[in-house]
Amino acid sequence: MQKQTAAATSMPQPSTRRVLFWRNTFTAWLFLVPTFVLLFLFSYFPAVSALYHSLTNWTGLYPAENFVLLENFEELISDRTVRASMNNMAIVMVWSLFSSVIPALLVAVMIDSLRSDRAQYWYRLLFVAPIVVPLVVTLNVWSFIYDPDIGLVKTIFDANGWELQTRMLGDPKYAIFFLVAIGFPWVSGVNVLIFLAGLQAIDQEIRDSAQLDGATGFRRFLYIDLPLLLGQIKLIGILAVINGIQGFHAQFILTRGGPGYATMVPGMWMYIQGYNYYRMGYSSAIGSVMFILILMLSMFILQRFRSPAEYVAE
Amino acid sequence: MTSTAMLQRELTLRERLRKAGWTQHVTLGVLLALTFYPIVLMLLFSVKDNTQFVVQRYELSFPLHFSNFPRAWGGNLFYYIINSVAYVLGGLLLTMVPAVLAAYSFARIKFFGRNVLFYMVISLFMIPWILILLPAFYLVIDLGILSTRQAFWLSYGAWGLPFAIFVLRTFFAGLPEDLFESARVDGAREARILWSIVLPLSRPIVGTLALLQTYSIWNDIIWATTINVNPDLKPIMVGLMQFTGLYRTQYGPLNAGYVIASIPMLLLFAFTSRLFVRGMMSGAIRM
Repeated sequence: MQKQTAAATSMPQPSTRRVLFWRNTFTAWLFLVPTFVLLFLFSYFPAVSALYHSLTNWTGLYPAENFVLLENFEELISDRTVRASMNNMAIVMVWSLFSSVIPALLVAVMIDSLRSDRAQYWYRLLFVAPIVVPLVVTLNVWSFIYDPDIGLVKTIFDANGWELQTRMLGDPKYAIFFLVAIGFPWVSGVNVLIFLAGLQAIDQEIRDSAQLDGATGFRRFLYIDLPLLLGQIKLIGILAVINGIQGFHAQFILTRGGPGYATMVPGMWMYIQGYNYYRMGYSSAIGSVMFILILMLSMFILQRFRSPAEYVAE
Repeated sequence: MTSTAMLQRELTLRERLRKAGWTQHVTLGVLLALTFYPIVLMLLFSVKDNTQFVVQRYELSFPLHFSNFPRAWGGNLFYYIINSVAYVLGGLLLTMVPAVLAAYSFARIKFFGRNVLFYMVISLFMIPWILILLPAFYLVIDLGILSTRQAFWLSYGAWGLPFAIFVLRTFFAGLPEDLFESARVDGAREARILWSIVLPLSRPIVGTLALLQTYSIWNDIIWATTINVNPDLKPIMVGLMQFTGLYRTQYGPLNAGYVIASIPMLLLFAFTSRLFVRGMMSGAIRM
């Protein structure tokens, strides 16, 4: 509203406004050239290529492929590894959603409730500091913690005289649970900062008036803070779901989907099929299914949880 | 009467406890300790020889074997780190420059096709990275840049864009309109406004995004393994995988290598943590 009046006063002639609009268009498109060149090369083209090749028996090598239409998808339905990996994916996804939101939110709320700015500063810094440790290192240290012969878990069990019944990451039945438990207590420093930023942006007046109305402690959190944090929760939630569906770093570095197919997830299986077995068609079909899944889940989250802040902004 | 008095006293007691924040300090302290113990383990193991590792694994044991560090250093870690730094710098440049230009256009310029183009960028959030991973690998082959630095630069640059554009657009859109209006009345071109008004104001958020991008490039392993077969071009993560295999049974040098591999990011963090926290706290990272 304000914008329009300002524009109208500074540019009285409709024709000049049109000229300006097209000049702006030219500038903006110029600004967008580098972005879209890169995105076309490394995002749009590969994505379209994957969707297209999911209908073929492409090996990734030339000479090119034949259309097999839905054969890849039929195979996918009857592929037992795919079924096992879908189960694991569901576990990973739910866990990823939980572990990226809850611990970080808890920590952020606690830091926010501290009175001392100094204490807040140090907690913020310390919780985010572990991001300096490379992922490969973290995972390998955890694989040591889980080592069934000399690892930390084994040592703790031995020290208490308990018998360790499982070989953890080597356990065909429970390996996936040990895999997702990596990173305990799962406080992501970056997510803590994102939540804290949201909490500290909440108008103190709102909190004060809530307090007058008797909303303190947990009730205030539930009815005031939480709804105003929905923007952050949604972002972290969607990223967590997407990462849960497609991530396979721990598998890639530690288990390769094993033992057997105990920790196999669609991403890892897709990689093995396409990169190791040269079955790019089938690999692309797995990727396409993942794409549809992520699309549906993200849409669901976006639709289901609209934050009040959005309405305020509009 | 007595009951209300008791209630009153109880409240003040609870309130006094809350004022000191003991519950929070204890909980946060425990969580911090649990978060840090794998790092502590790594540091502890890095100064042990094999005998100490077997006998006194979880306590500090003397003498400290700092010689593990030169031994780990012999495993080419230095060259891997240099490679990673090169990939980070190139990837950063190819993300941040296009992203700033694009985000500025989307946030502050009214132009033909603005919404469509913005949704095209945002739609990439929905495209799983695993869908494009292998087709992009074959693209790299077709472009003739397999096992080259350019392959790393272009791909990292492209994949950092959607998130950077999304966050920067939110930030730019939140800047007060007066700034732009007065500059435009003075006849300033968009590039000029961007350079001398917008960029100085958005240093923390640009820095924060650059840091997030740095951490993600530094940690990439799957793509880096896929598009590179040249041992001289291995980034640190891929190098560490091989290193882990080589030193599988020598826990001292293995963990010393892990410590060394953490140092570059530790240095970066030491110099930028203030900026990073400030940028993250600016509140632009949300939906």
